[in-house]
Amino acid sequence: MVSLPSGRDQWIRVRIMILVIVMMAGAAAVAHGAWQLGVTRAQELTNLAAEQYTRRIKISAHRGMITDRHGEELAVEIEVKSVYADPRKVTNPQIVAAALALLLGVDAMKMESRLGSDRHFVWLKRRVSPQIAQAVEKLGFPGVSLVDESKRFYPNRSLGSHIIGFAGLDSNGLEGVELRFDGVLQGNAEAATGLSDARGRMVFSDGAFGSDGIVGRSVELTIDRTLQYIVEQELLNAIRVFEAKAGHIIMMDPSTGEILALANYPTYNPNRINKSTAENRRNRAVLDVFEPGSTFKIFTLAAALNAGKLRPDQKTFCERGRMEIFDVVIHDDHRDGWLNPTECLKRSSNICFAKIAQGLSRKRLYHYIRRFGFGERTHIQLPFEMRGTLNHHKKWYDIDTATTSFGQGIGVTGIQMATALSAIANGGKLMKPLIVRRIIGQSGETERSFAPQVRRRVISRYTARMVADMMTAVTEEGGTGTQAALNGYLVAGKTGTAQKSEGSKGYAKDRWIASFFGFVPSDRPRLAISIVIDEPLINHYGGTVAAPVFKRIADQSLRYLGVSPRFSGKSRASAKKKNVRAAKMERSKRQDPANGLRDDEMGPSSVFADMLELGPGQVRTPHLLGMSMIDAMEILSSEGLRPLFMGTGIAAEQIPQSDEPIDKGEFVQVNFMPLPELGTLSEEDADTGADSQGVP
Amino acid sequence: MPRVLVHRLRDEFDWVLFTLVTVIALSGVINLYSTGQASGAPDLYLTQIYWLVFGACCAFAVAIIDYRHYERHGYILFGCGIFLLLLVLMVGTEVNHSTRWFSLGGYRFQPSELMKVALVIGLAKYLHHDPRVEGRKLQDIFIPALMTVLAMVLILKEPDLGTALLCLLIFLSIMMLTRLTARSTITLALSAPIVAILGWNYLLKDYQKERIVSFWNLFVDPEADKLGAGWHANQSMIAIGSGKLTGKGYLQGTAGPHQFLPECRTDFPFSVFAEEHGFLGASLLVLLYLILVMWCIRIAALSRDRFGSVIAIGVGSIFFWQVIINLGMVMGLMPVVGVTLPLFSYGGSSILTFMLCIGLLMNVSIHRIRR
Repeated sequence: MVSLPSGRDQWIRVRIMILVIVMMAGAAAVAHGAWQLGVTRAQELTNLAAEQYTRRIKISAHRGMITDRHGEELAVEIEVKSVYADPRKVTNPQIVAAALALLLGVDAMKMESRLGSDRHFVWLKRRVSPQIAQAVEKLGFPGVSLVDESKRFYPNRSLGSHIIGFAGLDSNGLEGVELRFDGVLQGNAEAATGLSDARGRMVFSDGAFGSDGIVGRSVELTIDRTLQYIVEQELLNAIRVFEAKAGHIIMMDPSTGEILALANYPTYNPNRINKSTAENRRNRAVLDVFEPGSTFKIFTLAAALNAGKLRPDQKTFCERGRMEIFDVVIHDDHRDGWLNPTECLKRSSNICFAKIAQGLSRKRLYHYIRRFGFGERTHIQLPFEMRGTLNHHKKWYDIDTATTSFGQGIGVTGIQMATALSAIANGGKLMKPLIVRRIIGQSGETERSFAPQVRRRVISRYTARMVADMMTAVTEEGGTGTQAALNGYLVAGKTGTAQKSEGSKGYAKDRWIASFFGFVPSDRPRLAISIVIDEPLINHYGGTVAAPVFKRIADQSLRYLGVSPRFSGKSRASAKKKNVRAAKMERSKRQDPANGLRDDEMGPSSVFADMLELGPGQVRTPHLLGMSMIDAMEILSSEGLRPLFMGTGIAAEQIPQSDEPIDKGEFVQVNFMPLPELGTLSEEDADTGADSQGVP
Repeated sequence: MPRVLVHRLRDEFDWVLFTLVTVIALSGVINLYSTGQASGAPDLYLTQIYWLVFGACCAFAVAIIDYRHYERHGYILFGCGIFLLLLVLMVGTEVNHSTRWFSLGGYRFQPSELMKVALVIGLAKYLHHDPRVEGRKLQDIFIPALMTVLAMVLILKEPDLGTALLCLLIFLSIMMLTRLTARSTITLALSAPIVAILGWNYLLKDYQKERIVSFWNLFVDPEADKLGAGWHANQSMIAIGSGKLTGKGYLQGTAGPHQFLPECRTDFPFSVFAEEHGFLGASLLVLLYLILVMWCIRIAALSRDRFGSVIAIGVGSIFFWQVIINLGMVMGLMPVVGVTLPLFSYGGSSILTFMLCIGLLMNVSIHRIRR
């Protein structure tokens, strides 16, 4: 080592050596420790680290949008403030607690215990209104701070709520597409690691990581907001008129399996989840299993024709309305004699279909029912889909073949029915129902698209055509579904009037399901619509309750889609003019307060305004609802319009409505409101927030 | 400046020491920049640079005054340290349940940091005037022990367990240079547990006991108490471990910026460094410290008198033990006691103290040859 000056005690040399050895040993121990952590246990600790980041990042994830098929926003993120505290920096917990309890509307005792904890981070109140945030800032208590959080906002309120679903306090999807596509909407948690800290601030804004995954991707639905609005309005209408308990409607493009609209009643406003019940949030079209009744006959008919067990002109004897098989008596409403298949369907004869099914054999009937997709999930991109009930034919009693043929003793869902119906409409192909069209990356590029997918061929094109023709007869003179008939378009359909099953007690006397399943135009179908009205009181026949709903929906939708009528004495131009007039009447009716349709004000821009023509120097009023003041201002100025803003917060009302023609340079009045539900988040929410995200 | 001094600086300037200090301090600043990003205080690294420059000026001033003057006023310097400790107990600012700081117009100053240097000077002065080579008995080291205990008691009163422990370790390290009789060594070894028990019962505060207990619990069951007192150690281990062999890369770490490690700037900067630069980067930093400590021993061995030797050994032991204790606690090998990493951690008092130490070392180094 070092040479020492002479005259020094040699002991010094020894002791210095000892010192060096001790230090070397210490350094070795530290190096060993670093080796243990950095190499031996590295993987385990890396996993632990990853767990922490993903857990923490959830608070701040900026979710992607959900839009309809035309890019109209159905679910967006808005920035709001949340109040948190670092209790160790709070100087005077009692006073601070008392003041904040009053301001934030939280129990004073709870507030004090939160402020008295020895953590570094507690939520005091998530997502407060701008006014409260400002007040908190003004108070300026040390240790109490505000943080930007994003909140989900559904600008169209209840529109499409069962499809969209909703997201929770921590930006996690809890229902519908929000849940099913949660991973996509939240963004890739792994890629976002290290981008956002425990309080939601961006850490590396200069793109140390790729920009992917910081913000979630957007999801574009197959839903058309306008069609969805039409369907919801008509469902609500029918429910009101016939005083029904519930109902659901699905509108599908039969050639692609894309769902254009899916409505349920009762419904809810996803902006106010805590005010809704589970009953209201239930997506009945996908979750409720019901007995289809007579509408199921179209599938029995298709099966028998396709299997060659029924000739299109083969007559079946109707037994004059009463038949006894396997000790069970089957009744028909009419006392008919010999009927051909078209007439069987038109008159909805149970006896004929029981006989057709016998001729087909139970094994073949079961086979076709399965081919049509019953008894299995359709794999629609929504959570919790039900499979329905369909027993294997080996478990059937003899009578089951007969009852199944006319839709009793089998449980189906609305989405199964709509998909099977589309298979008949599109020439025999069972499609996979689609609710999401595309996943869109941050820069607007398509990250993934969902192409139409044929699951299998169920029946031949020829059979499908035949069944469609026979179904068309149902809406024609003498059929059960005449009220679904449209001017200018052929409608293929089938009515259903099913008594509700009460399990072992047989069928209820006074509780019915009225339904109508149809597609239009029947020769070149554009829309397949399934309508199910649960427990209507005023009337219970599918032909009376559900068929008119079909007509009204189909009428408006076909016009909206620009499907030209096939046979009509009038020219297209005059038809359009008539439509505009109808639209104006329709709107004045909707604005009638006596109708009490409150959802209008936030509903999609008026459906019919699209058809109002633009004069010279006119533009269409942009859709501003749900926007911040700055965004609204930007859009208005880009359109050459002048803003007239009232209030603060988020655009809640606009005059004129969006899409209405307006002269350039005119004023657009927009009323802004602070989000009302922000101040009403429940205590429990705030609690769980504090528990799960607090940093000890 | 006298001519002699200019010549000394020119001819004897310790470039190795200078380079080591510069590299370590700059690494600390760069690391601090990383922890500061987005954790609410992005400009802390600037503050650190100011302190380093100020500290360097102080070090220069300390270095150019021949250390004979320090030797002459050794006890006065020691007394100043004790006085500051007494003063802080009376008028200091309480932060996190301990009274360690003076608040001076926005800056906080921690006299217990200075006390370490004062203690080294005091002990050096005593040993310089007792240049015996034969074995010492217990009564012969009574006065240095008393000086150490006085400092320790005052520091424990604040309370600051880590610094008190350091004073003890400085004392023991320096005592290794003086020869003790075998009997005295045995007596000391036997009395240590008794002192420890007394200290546990009468001197340690509850939160300090809690930290030590939590540390032992970590040994018994590493999964327990992750969110309580063991939080820091656990988070720090996670950070170091997830850096693996080569690290996540500069500015890519998560422990600091994400506030998983609330004390990442003062006590746990090494975790952030190890997370970003991995085992290799961390080893390099440890190696730098090892070279620095070895250099201290070399300076001690080459110094012209015993005072210089003891100063160099004392300063070296401050560096060594702080590095070992800090890295030990950061890696979960030791309880969390709040000891900074020399020249690397953020903090004015810490930087200033170590810069004074470096000044003393430089002083001993450039005055090693009598002119």
